[in-house]
Amino acid sequence: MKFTQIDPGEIDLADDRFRVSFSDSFDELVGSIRDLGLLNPPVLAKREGRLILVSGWKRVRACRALLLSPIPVFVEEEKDDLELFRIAVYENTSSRTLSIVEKAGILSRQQGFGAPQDELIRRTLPLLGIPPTMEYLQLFLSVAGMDPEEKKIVHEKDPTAAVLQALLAFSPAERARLRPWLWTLGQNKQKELLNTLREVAARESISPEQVLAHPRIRELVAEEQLLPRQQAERLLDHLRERRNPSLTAWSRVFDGALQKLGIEKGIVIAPSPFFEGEDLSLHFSFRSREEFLERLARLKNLGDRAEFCDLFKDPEDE
Amino acid sequence: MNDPALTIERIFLDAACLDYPLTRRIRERLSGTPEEIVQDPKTFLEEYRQKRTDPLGDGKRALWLTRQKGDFLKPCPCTPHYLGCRYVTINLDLNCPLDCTYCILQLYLSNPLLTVFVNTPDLWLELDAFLGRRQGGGQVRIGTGELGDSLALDPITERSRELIPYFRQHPEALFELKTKSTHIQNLLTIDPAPNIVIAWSLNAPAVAQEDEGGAPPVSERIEAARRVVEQGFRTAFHFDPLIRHPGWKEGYAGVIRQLSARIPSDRIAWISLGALRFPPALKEIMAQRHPDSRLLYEEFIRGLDGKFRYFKPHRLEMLFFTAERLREGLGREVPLYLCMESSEIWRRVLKKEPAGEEDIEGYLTSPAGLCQFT
Ligand code: SF4
Repeated sequence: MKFTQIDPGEIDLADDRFRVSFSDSFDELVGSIRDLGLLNPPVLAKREGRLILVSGWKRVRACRALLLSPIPVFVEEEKDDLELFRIAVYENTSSRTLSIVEKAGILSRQQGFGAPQDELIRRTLPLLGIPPTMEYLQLFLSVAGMDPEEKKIVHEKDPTAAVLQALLAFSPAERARLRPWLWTLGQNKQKELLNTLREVAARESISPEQVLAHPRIRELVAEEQLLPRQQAERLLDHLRERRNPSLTAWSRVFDGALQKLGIEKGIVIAPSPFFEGEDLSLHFSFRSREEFLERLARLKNLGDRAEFCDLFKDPEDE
Repeated sequence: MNDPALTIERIFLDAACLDYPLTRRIRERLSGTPEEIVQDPKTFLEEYRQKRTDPLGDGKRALWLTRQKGDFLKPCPCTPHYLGCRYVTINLDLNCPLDCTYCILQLYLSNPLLTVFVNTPDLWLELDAFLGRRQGGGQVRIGTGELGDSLALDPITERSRELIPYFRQHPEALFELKTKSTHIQNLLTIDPAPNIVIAWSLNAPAVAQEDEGGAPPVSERIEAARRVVEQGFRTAFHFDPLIRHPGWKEGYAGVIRQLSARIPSDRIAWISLGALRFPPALKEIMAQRHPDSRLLYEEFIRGLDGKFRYFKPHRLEMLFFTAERLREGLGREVPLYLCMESSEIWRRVLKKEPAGEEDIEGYLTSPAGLCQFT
């Protein structure tokens, strides 16, 4: 590798074959280079008489913005594309945390430069902090194949591998349709939304698109005063109900029985989670002996009412 | 069902295990199958998993002969918050050549290969010690079908020819071989004993066809059971997992009719019933390996143990229906028990409420017809 000084204008930035960074922003570097100079020289390579960048995209663009010339660089003339790309990868992984999209880009380019699959699994995946399995390799290669707009969102949101897996089960058109809601949710709910939608579609033998065309969903989307996040939460509630019709029916019957009893605020009667156990639970709070006795008396009245037995009824016996 | 000798494409041999008699026997049975001697098992297993898209599927066609370095015997883990039956499992082989969509081993085993632990001499020592400690403690139920199918590899391992004579000498154990296969050729050459039970997992024909990849049809399993009964063995059946599917009632009722017509009830040691249940993490594996399985889209809730289970009313309906058909077909003397269920479900399905696991163990080890809960 040769150390030299060149004018940054000589670098052909259009050739981005070694570029790892997905983001364009270099503002944060401009200040530090202005104050301290370029401390870490970019690495360049010569290809067909042109100088192209191996690493240091943001640094070169910051130098250009500052009209600095010449700048110190390393020029690598002998290594092939795969070897040079490995340099770019090591430089990036050692200096910052990469997003999912950047990791996906690394894997797909390294594959494009001819890296054997074994190297990708055993060396590159662990280097990127990804479990070294074929399954993960394929997942990340699929991310690399997303369209630029979707990649941009995935880069910004940096979802978990589980969310990505769930997301990639949908077609690009279906993913685009979910976009306004999906990314407003937290990661657990993102995964739940995607999986529940897929499962409802399979249960009802219709496409996800048809699931989303349900009048109730159209209604809630039409409610303009709702924030996208609120719409997403309602969509998820709606899907949960369709996914678990029996549980939903039981919960409705139980809630109806509670409502008939007109239980006052501060007293909570609940079935065991998912109606799995036989027991109901009761919760109430009090601040004094008097309040305690008064609550007990009210509870006793509640228990004396015939409708109280409805709480124990099997809705399917009706 | 295919002969395992025909489906195994490669044998991997732990270099430390070449001299065991079982290694030699298997190599003889599978002579001509490509072999590879492995010096570093840990790296080998790691790499085997890493390099494959479906290591579990590929592993079903590769045999790994190695040593059991831990204990062969383990108490059946059952599941928290539900009633167990104090079963003891013998972990002789891991994995099985069949490929059931719901198989829990897809999640539990990090080693995807068909693994045969060849250090049988260590097994006998461990069994002697275990049974010795239990002297006078009542009969223990013990079996091999927990981490694999008890007979699926029997044509090449011939384990049954060693295990049955061993347990014949140990009436303090009630030994069960549990299978979906029809590989009974070795059993038909062995003398039976009252404490040996050959058990089959049965399911509705539609489930067997769609969710039990590579397993023989249920009618063939019942026919295999009939033949071992004819040989003098006692048999048992496991309707587990019961799965809801279109026409499930007729599916299970039909199998029970076949069973009642072909197996005398006094030769049935027990029948277990269990509705499908599985840890949430298995669902992701199922979605990848069996994306078309309808099981992924059933209505499940999280049980008290955190596993996915059918919503209780659905479970009750299935268990009750199946138990009633079994009682109609086979009489009330055949002991029925529920696998991994609560005392509420026991009470509502079987009209019995065991006082605890010891009670269930006593119920299942007492002679058929005398079973009563304390
Ligand atoms: S037969 Fe048993 S061990 Fe084999 S795949 Fe099916 S469930 Fe798993």
